[in-house]
Amino acid sequence: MRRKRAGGKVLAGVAMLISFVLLAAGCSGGPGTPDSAANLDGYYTASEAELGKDHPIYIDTEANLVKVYATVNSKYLVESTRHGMNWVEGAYGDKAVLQTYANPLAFHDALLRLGGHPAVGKGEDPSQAFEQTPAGKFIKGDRVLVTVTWEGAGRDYDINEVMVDSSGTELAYRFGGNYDAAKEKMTGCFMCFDSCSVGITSNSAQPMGAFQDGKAEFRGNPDVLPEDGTPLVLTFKFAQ
Amino acid sequence: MKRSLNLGCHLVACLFLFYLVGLSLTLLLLQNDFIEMRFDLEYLVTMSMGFGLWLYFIAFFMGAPQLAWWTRKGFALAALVATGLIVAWIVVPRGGLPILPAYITRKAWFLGSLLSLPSMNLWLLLWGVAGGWALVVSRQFPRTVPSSTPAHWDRFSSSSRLGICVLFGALGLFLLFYLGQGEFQRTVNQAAAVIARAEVGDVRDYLLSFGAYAAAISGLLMVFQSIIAPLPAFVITFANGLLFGWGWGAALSWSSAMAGAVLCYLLARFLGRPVVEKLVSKAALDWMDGFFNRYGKHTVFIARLIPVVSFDLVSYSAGLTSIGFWPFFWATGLGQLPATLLYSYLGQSATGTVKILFMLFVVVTALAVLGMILRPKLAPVTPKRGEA
Repeated sequence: MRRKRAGGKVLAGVAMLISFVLLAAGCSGGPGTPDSAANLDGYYTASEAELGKDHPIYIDTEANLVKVYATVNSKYLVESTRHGMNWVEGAYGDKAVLQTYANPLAFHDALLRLGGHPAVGKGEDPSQAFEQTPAGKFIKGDRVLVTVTWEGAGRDYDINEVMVDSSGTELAYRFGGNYDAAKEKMTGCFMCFDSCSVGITSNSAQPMGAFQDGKAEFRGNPDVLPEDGTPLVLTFKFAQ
Repeated sequence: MKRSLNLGCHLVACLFLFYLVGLSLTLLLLQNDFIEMRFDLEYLVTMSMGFGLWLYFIAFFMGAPQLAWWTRKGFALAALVATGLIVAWIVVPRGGLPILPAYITRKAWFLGSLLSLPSMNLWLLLWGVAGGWALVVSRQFPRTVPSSTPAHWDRFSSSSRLGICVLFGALGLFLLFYLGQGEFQRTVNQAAAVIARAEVGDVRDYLLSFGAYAAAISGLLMVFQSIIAPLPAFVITFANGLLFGWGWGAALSWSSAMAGAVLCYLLARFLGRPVVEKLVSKAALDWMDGFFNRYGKHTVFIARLIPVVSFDLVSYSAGLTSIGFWPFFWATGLGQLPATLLYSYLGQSATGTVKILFMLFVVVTALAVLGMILRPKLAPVTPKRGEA
């Protein structure tokens, strides 16, 4: 009887819950759900061979590079998106061409360990992350070179071979940082296709809002990328 | 056996048709980048099929065959043609035929981690054949609805039917947003986690995280708990005392609890007794009826003074009686005032967790004693053990 009553009451409260949560969602976004430092360490693996869903990030301090495990999301080989790679548990986890399994904060810290300089560091003014030009706001930060490979690929592909920008502009990733925004919003963004105030890295060749304003469309290259769900390894290193 | 087959056939036909409606909508809305980037549209298929299932149960188990839309030739034909056109116009030109329908369906059916896209395409083929066959057969063998169903749809008043539709509509909308909007889902999960812990400090921290909106969020939390009572109201009242001081905290707690009570009262007026019985249980309503018989127009005031009597039950029950809105309003306002002031003062005074726990212990003990003193007086109308 109690269970029945509780179930019925839940239905009655839904209308109010909706208004409550809508308001809550529309406010400051509420508290973040940051992982503790100990939790972030769990995303790293000590050996490249162990890269996988459980340990998706490998930091090679000798070669000065970070490797990230991801899988293909084939929806965005035929539809356009502004997300290159996202954490599956982020708020926009399913919106990217590539899905990864690590918290973006762990990726941020991995790039820091390589000695990278973000456009905006922890606790810094986010308005300093962009270069304002007549063409728009472009993300700053150290330039990051990205390559992709997978079993049977035969070689490492440059990010420009596996992703398509409809405007023909080459992708040029930079270490935006955005640690505080990423922690607060938890969208899960690793790599954005245009300059972004949340993504850990984003494309400095396209200004902020390029996708939303219809200036460019982005998708994965269906002629190169393997089929849905195939595991990939992305390599990030800073340009000299 | 024949009846079960007929029921099953109609179920498949209904689900298939609403699947097509959901798929078409999803494919169309996918073309809007603004919506697509903010919302997992695949769950439109889930909710469309859920709506179909809801219609199916009302049509066949609550005696409303006019709601069996899938047996209407025009509706079925329109859904089939629209889906075909949308697939041909949107999906095929960009080479998405082997990807998009399977991807959308797999996600809508929560099979993402179980099936590859090629496997999902095979299942889709089977689903299409089964659905098409069921549509044809269900039109040839319409289901006859028994006249004596326990809750006949037509026996509900029009306002009750509207109320039921609004409630289920709200539930559907909430689920759709919860499933489809990642940030909304995160906010709900955080709020639910805070509520589930029912700790004053956590509620305070949660409210503080909203900055200037803290008072509004606290008010909505109070209204929410007034309706479905997931956590004791005194936890919020305590937190309000801590956050805003005893005066403002009490004012906020009192006014938001009033809003919750009024909402319950109006919901009961609007939905009527049959629906409220489903919401709060028949036994609880019968128990409150006894209370109203015994204390008449003073019932609301007395019940508000007794902390062990459910706040929302009193509001719902009052909405079913002849008690007018303003007598209910003033009785609730005056009746809840002493406890609100007390909890707010305790909330402001308490600083450490130990102190809060100690005060909670004192308050709960006092309430238990009060309940034990009052219980014999209520005994003649108390429901039998296990009924409530």
